[in-house]
Amino acid sequence: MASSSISATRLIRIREVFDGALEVAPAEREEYVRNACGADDTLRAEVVSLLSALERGGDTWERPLGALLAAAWTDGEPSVVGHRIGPYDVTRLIGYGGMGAVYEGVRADDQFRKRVALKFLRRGLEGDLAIRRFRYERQILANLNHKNIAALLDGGVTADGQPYFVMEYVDGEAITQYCASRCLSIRDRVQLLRQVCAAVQHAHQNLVVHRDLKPGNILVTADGTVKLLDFGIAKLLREGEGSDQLPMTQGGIRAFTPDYASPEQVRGLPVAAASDVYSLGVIASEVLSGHRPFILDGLLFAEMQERVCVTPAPPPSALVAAGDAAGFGERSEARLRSQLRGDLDAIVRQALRKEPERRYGSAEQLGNDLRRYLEGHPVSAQRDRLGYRLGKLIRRRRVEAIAGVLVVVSLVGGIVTTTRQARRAETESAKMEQVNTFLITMLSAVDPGYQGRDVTVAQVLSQAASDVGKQKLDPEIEAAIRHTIGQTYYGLGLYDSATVHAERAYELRRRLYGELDQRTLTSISYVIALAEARGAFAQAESLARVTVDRHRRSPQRNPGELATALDNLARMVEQQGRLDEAMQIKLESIAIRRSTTDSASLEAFPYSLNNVAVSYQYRGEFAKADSLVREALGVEARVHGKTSPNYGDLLRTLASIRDESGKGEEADSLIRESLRVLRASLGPNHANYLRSLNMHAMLRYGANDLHEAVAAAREVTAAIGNGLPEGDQTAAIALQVLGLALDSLGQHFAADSALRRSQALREKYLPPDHWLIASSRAVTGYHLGLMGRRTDGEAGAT
Amino acid sequence: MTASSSHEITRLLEALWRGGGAGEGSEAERASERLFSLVYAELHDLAVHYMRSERSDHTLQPTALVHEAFLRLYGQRDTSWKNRSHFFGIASQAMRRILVDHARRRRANKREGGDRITLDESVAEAPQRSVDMIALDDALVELAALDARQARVVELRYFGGLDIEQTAEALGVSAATVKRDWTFARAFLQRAMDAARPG
Repeated sequence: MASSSISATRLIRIREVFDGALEVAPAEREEYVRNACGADDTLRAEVVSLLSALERGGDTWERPLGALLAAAWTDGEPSVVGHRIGPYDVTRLIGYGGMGAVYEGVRADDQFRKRVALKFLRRGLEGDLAIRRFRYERQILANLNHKNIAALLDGGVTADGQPYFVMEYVDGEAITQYCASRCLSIRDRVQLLRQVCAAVQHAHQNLVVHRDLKPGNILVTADGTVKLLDFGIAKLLREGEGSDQLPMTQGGIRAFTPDYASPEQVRGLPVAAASDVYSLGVIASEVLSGHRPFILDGLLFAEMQERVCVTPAPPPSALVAAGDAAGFGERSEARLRSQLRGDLDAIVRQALRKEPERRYGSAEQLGNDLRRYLEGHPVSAQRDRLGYRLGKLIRRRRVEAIAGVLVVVSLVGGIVTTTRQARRAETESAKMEQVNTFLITMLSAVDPGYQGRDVTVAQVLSQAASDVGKQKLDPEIEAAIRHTIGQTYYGLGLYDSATVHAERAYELRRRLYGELDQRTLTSISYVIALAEARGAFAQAESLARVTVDRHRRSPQRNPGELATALDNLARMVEQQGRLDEAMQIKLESIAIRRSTTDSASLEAFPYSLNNVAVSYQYRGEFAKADSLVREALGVEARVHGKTSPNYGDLLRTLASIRDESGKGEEADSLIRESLRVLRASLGPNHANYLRSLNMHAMLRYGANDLHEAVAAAREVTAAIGNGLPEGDQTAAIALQVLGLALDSLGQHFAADSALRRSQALREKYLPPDHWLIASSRAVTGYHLGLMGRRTDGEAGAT
Repeated sequence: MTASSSHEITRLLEALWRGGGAGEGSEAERASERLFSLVYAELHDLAVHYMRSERSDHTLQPTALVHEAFLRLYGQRDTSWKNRSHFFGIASQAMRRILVDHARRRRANKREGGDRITLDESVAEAPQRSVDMIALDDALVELAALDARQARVVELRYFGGLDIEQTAEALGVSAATVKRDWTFARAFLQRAMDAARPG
């Protein structure tokens, strides 16, 4: 049985059935497993083979290890010091690495007696896996050629068959020690960090992720050159290199240093270059403040995981402690802190984001920001914060507002694109720098990702809003501030307050810049979105028509933005129930986007396609819907690649279309692919991953694979109130699937609580006459019938 | 065991729990490595001591060794569960490495045709069915990649000789969880090892 082909999630499923089987009497096990696995024959085979293995094992596992131990102790391990290995004389033992000993040696046939480091595979580790990893590191080093990476010089096999390789000997200190022992200034430290980024970037460009970056692997020589060592657990990014067969653990010890490990590493998820960026963030924090953001020593694994994956990292300036200043050649801690506050805090914070996609995209970007800091230019980490925060708030609200599992991708596109363009337009104006500074300062006090309470955001906003009213501001600045306040209120769902500011901003800008100016158009798009949010669809529609018209008339007519405006209009028309008209508008938008090559429009294109596809799906025109989603997948793959979160969302849409058109098996494999993509890109607690998981649960329920349906639905419902907002329809649907599947398994009482909770959620979050509530009541009635409480059931169904 | 190394282990354990201050990152790391080698050495000394005193192999049990090593290294001063848990974790890993390394050496020797028959070997080849340490280790690596906690349970239970409750305490999970992990892990490992067995 090739158990290595099992994935971690698969293991959980196997385990669930296995555990369940052991709870029933031995005679009933076979039947239990058969029922539990449904049509999943592989699952059944797995569980059966494990149960029989358990039986075979008998008491072997309780057998004392004494005899083996006794034998093990008496074997010594000879040292190679004093021997000649190839052309090298081994002079001393430097230390032990993860794979084995590292010795110092000199080249015997070289008159300069050049020093080298010889790395041996530990004796006794001649297993296939160990050798593979060892050779693998050698291969990686051979491909890297950079002044900041210790070079591979040679390699071979000793006379008694032990593989070794020879590296440049680096006479240096760990970067943290180097900085501390020389009391380096912040600027000097930043220079060193730039070298580290350059080395890591070189590795990444060669598709190698280091995975174990830590000060001990980053040495600095006496002349101040950084040398990166130890690619022992590195991984190639390229597929098909055989690298994926290498497990990330070794000897039961996770093969990374938890102090510098990224959240995804700690969770055991696949790692990519962003993981190294995180480690660089920890190292930068330590180099710049003398302290790591988290103290993990002495924590239980679960505590450590919580710290790394959940607790926001304090910025370096907050880590500076009394007595630290002298080590930086500074007079006081206050001076040290003030150097870190602002840019460097922002840079480190961006590297230390919990979500890989929110970090710097590469070590190079991190390095560039460090360079910009040294040159006194604005750093990207700062610029991104406001835009990101607003974008995030907006996205969150919008997603919550939309009922239904499948449409979620769709409506977000227009707004996001607009925000992005707005930012671009605004940065052109030098005046806007002040505005941004004002707002960033105001909002950074309440960064939800950092300090955490949205309530305070609203409080600060209302303070800022009244300030804007009182102060005599330059109209241009007032417009920008009000625009941003409007956006933020919008994000918080305070639509009436938002409308006041957004409309004022629009008025000001219309007068300042004219109706066709990009900034004016951006403002009006918010006024429209707000009208929509308040349910004033007719008003929103007429404003949207105005916008479309202006885009058509705009001299520097931008097809992408016209398409976005059309999408917005289509949405308003659709909201008022004129579906055919909406469809015509959407088709025009698609036609426009198909004919442009501008990258901004391409980015939003998959959303448009998805929107129309969903409409076709609702009408039952599956073939049309199918082809549009496939087109969307193609575009998304080209723009962001096949691992982007959007790609995963689109796969879900396609799965649902295939399912509805009766192609259950295709839907099944599509949703699994979607799960894979979303889990890797968003993590297991993200609403969109959970939506796909919910869909998976529905499909498995449909296929009568009840245990897997239950397992998947449970995972979704466990995240309600956490990764998944209570009011999200996915929550209610997952509870319903869970209840129905449990009912089919005869577990009526467990089903009861799930179905009641589902109905309660809908009653809490939907308008009282919504059809979904009626649907919930019908399901509850059906279920109560099964439970034999028919009277209740009849009452529930009326 | 000298007084100074007993003192050192106290310091190392405490340093690890306290966590490092300014610039002490690599020191904490060295402390951890140092601790491992101290524990390894202590276990080795104890085992040799037991064997020299010609006790039967029944006394040479992981549980006894690990507990005695802990007492000798750390004394009675502090028996906080965190220290004990950490120590047992390290000791179990040391045990595993010792056994697996030895098995690999034996296999290598056999391959070279230079299979020395020692007293220890003959003890190891006792009538009970012997465990293929190498296959077990490989399977454990595989299991750890899928579920790290299960692998830790095996390390503590099998190599460290801890019972269910002690294992639960060391991992900070319930005894019921350990029991289920232990059962599943045994099945998983047994299956993998049977598959690896030639013939």
